[in-house]
Amino acid sequence: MTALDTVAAYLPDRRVPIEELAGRLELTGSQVQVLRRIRGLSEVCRTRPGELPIDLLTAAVDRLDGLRGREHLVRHVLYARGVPLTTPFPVNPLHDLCRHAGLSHANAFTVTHHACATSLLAVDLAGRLLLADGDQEALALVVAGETVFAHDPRLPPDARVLGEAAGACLVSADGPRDRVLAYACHQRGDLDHWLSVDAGDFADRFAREYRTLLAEVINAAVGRAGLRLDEIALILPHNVNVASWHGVCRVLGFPPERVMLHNVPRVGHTFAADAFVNYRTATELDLLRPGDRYLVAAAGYGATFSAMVFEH
Amino acid sequence: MFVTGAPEQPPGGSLRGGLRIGRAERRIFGGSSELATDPSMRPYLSAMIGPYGLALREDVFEAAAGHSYGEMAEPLIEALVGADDPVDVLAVAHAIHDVRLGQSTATYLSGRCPGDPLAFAVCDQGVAAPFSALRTLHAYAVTGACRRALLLVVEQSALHYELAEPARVPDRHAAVAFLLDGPTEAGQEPVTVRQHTVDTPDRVGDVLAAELTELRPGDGPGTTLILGSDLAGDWTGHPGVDEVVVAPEGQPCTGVWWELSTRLPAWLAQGRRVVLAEHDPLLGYLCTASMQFDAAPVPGSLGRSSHLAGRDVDPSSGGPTRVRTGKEV
Repeated sequence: MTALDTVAAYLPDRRVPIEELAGRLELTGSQVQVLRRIRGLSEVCRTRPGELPIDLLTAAVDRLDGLRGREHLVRHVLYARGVPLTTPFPVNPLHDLCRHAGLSHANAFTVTHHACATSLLAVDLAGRLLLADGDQEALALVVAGETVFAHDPRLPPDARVLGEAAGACLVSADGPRDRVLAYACHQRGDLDHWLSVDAGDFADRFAREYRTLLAEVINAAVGRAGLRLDEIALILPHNVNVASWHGVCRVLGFPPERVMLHNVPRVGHTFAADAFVNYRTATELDLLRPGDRYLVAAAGYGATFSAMVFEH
Repeated sequence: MFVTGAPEQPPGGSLRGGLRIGRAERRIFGGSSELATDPSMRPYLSAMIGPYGLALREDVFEAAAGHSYGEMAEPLIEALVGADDPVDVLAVAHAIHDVRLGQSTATYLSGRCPGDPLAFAVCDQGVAAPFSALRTLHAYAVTGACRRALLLVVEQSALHYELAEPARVPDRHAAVAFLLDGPTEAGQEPVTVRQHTVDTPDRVGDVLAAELTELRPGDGPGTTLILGSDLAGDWTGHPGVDEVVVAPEGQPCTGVWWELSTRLPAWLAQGRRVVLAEHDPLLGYLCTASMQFDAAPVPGSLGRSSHLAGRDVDPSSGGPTRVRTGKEV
């Protein structure tokens, strides 16, 4: 049964208040007020000028203590990337990362097109690759983390505010810790604003369907794990905003105090890295006890909605 | 919706069977996509290449060159996948990126493919990406979550900025699609992918020779080796290989898959052992994909039927909610 062996996160120490981002993101003063007072955003982590995706990824992997001395066991390295294109061809931060981390022997590739839910896909895929390989000792490394290099004015205001952080996770085909119980994924390419040059009414349609679609995958994953929703101790969300999670909780009938929203105002939404960043926060805050069943949920433009149930 | 439990090895340790290639489609696309005129491309690419000190190529912008992987893949899916052939998992593999810069094309294609498959892209691995994509499909199959898979290998030739470092850029827009079925039964050989990292270029030939020996080509009626163009120059032969096909140079990522798709109907009818081999000189990967095509049974004979014939359709697919559950080991 796929299990998380070790998880690390890297949060740049630079924090940027959302007011400082307003000009570049073409946000009005009233939009910023809504983001702060209603959406629950405050500041976001950001790299220092000149830092690149490779700097984020190496910082996360350098914090992955479980990797030391076990590099030779790593068969696969998967970069779970939310944005399909982030570096000029053929620049390849993934393979630079492998050289840096002593993993040049591994099979390394990027998996993408699940937007900010790609890290869940990568965990599922990593477990299956290891099982298919048949080596019980082998490991896969999943990394996530992206920098903000452009903003898309077609996105609604809260979706333009993004943080920068990275996560790294060693995955094993079996293990005692953080075992995967179920995974649900619903892809809705018809909600993608890249379908046409003018983007159409994607934002309205995405907003209308968002809560229902996210609640559906959460319920599907919980059901596939053989659980009831009230048996989920904690939801680790994607850090888009507080208000939308309250809305999802209303659809689910799930208490919002069991959704870990700590990182929404202090880190922001960090693409596919939210899952690992929030896992680290949850364990550091001692929010998970052995045996707890918890759920990681994510969604993103494109559009993909995903949920994965774990046992801690 | 794709819903699955954790992959779990069954008691006894044996995984399910893998996948075999059943059908293929391929196409060269002339001209460009209208999406290559999207004004959002310029600010996106400018911001992306800025930190790397590269410049935009105005000649490529003026030519409105480039193609969309979604537009290229869609007609191949329509030609290849029937409404009664629901696909469980779809993988798009590419080396050079799409001209539709921000589109999650695999997610779009999921909605255009019978079965609404779990769909994703595999990239950032040069010409090794299609092999990894095939490996991921195999992993979903042997862990019980995929009985029919679609592999799409795509490349388009327009790059709107200077190359960051020397790399092979295609000279045409090409796409190849393969429909794979499983699980293989006892006695059937699934497609097998093997990947090596070779740290020095002068070892590539030796590693390939050792790989071919280990794959035991020559045990069957004959083996065709489809070589990536990077490997062709140093090829000196191998006792088990009686036919060599070299992929076209202008299709660095799709080349070997193109040649496979071209000859597939004949091999499915007559039987053949085939090995694809590719090398990425930038990243050092040497990859092989080996497959055995069994001769189709003579009509009216009592021999084993083709692995495509009489295939069960997932009974839960195509229902009103379009929700399918990944099949368990």
